[in-house]
Amino acid sequence: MEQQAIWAIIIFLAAYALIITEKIHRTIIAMLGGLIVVAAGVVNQETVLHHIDFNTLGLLIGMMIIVSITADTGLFKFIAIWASKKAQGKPVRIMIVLSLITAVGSAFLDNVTTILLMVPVTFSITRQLRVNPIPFLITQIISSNVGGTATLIGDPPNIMIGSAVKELTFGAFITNLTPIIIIIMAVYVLLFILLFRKQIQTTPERTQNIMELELTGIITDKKLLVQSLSILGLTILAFFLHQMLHLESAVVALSGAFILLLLTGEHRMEDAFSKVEWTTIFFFIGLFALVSGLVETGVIADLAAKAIELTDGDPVATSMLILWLSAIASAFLDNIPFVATMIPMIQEMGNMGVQNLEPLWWSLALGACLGGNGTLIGASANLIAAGMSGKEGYPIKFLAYFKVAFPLMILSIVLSSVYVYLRYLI
Amino acid sequence: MESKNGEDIEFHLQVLDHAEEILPKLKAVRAFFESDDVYTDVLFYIYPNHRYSAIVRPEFYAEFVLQLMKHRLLKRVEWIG
Repeated sequence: MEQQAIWAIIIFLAAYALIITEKIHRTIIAMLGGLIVVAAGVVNQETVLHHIDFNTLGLLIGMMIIVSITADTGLFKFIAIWASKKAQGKPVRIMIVLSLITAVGSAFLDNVTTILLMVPVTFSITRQLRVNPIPFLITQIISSNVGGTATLIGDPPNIMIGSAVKELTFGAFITNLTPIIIIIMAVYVLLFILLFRKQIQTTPERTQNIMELELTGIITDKKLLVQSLSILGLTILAFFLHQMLHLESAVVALSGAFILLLLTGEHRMEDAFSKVEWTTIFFFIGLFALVSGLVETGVIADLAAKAIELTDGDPVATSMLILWLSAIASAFLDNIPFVATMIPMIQEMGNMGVQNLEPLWWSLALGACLGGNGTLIGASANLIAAGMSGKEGYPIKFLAYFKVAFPLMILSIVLSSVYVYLRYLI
Repeated sequence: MESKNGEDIEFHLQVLDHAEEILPKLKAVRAFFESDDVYTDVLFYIYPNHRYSAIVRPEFYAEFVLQLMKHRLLKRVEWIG
């Protein structure tokens, strides 16, 4: 192995190890690792820039701007309270309805933003009902990762896969992933009821309090609501049509964001920009640079060759390996760096003669997104919800979450294995 | 009206007169607690006929009362007992 490849592996593994320890912020490590890749001469700056996927970054930034403006209207609080009234103020029904809202929201916005919007509303409703908010939060975390799996824009791994593989359009993600996501959510809803129904009992008076809540006054800015919903709707429509329009998804999301800023006036721009999660954006940039070292020095190609050797190039074995490896790895590691490494590996398998890559991409998407449910550190949405809950005096313990979520995650991967096998491999 | 709600304190408010003057003040108090980064300090609930309730965490009780005073929604504050 060449000296540069050894350096690329050492820098990558050191960065990965430091990210896992969580002693230093993952963005600082990824960026420094990426810069060392360039400074050590593993890859030159020009090549690294080619590996930084603007489509992933542009899509994330555009959606963050649109959602931050929409959130200012009070829409999510309105939907949650309206749904709670429709659920007749009954805690179990409200828990399920909020989970479903989180799943749908995560599919069409992104799961981290959806969790940020749902957690405060959940506290408001559970406080009124005087029930423990933790079952509500756990079901929302799980639903956000499941819902986010259904679309190209729902979860960072899907954004990265959709950006790397041009044939996997927004519509392709929906037609291929949504059916299994609906099945998984239906099974989860039944299990949520069985697992938590005894923990969230309330009195008829408190149920009545929810039923009497007034909806008028929750929407804080009706004009802004119309503007942001119109642009959000048009942006999602454009995602469906992006291949027909010959537009990258980043162009669609950024166009939506800046047209909305044009409509709302520049006074909103500073605030909207401040709500973009720049730490996540720079984390991606650092990772792309880190992975570029592995790609350019041939390490990824060697790994792909080993994987093909291991499975003998058999499509069923390769798909199942990717699905289960992605799920277990994503439960314990950050799924974003994992997917950043797996994408060039699967592309390399294509170069090595593996004919049908489609089941491998869907296996990666399902494994990486659903695997994030396995532990509290498995996905960004989990960590954010746990952080918010802990700060309010309701810490979600790692083991308590693990006992519920890990078996549910394994169940979702079993269902996904059956789905991938039946749909793509026979 | 103020009552105990578990560990929290629950305030029941009803605007009977001068709604156009009082409601913006009440909204300002609500906006103050909704704009900070503690979600459960004071939670507001809106009911029909200008009825409101606020569930206040004990450690934010004084701050809530001070905000009501600041917006002149209270005329007098008195500790009982």
